[in-house]
Amino acid sequence: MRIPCPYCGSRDVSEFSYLGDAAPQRPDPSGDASSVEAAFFDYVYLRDNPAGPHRGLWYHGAGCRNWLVVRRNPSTHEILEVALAAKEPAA
Amino acid sequence: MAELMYQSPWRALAPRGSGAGVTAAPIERRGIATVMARKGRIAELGAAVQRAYGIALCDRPKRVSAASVTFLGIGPGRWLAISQRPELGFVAVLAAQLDGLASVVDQSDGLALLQLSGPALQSVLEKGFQIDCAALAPDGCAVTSVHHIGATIWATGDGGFAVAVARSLVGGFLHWLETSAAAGGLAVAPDRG
Ligand SMILES: [Zn+2]
Repeated sequence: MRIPCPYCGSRDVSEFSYLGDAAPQRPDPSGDASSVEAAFFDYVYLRDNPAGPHRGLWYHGAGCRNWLVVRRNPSTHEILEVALAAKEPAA
Repeated sequence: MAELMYQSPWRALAPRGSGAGVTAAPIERRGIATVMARKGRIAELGAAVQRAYGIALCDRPKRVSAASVTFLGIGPGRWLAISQRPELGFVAVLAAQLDGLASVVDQSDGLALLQLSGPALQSVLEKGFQIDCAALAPDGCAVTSVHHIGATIWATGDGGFAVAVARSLVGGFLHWLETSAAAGGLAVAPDRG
């Protein structure tokens, strides 16, 4: 598999590390303890398992050392979209 | 305090095989620094580099060179700056020029630079790099790996390439280079200064 890094171009998957699903957002830790605990349980443990396109976080450690959001279809290995997880305005 | 003696990271580099399919020339004693733009300061950083060195920084994997410095794009908002000549004090001057606009970190002792050229170079690079180095533009640059060793490679505009690897991994890099280039001959040229 090759991943087209927005900065580096097409690179072998061995240059990247996979972190996981890009969807979970860290819940607000303030508020009622039991609902916070439930939200964190969901955030830490519960994952969707779609049989189609999926957004994942990948780290290009052997290249530009940036986090990428890769939208891909794990059933077909097709890569649909790759973006830098953090964007800075260009020079 | 005792002065440390300069030791070339390439002192084990030796010719292999016969002929000069690849010629390797150490690039020694350069001032080297990573330049990382502070958040939201890329435009001002570009203007400061333009003022100080007369070159337009490019936020892409490209090499831009001036009389005294080369900037290599190594990531979004990040560059590797290398003095064009053996230099002491280059990094301190650069850090002062870019104060507040970028984090400038000295890499002069940490990176080893080698210039590579020759008719067999492309076929030798193919034995170690997972990217197509021949497809790099004359001002192209790539952060990748060679023989599982992290490396930055850039076209020097004269048909050759320069490679930067961590000084501590030069032994492994040389093992790959000597083994891969021996068939067509590996020649060693003097330090490019
Ligand atoms: Zn990259």
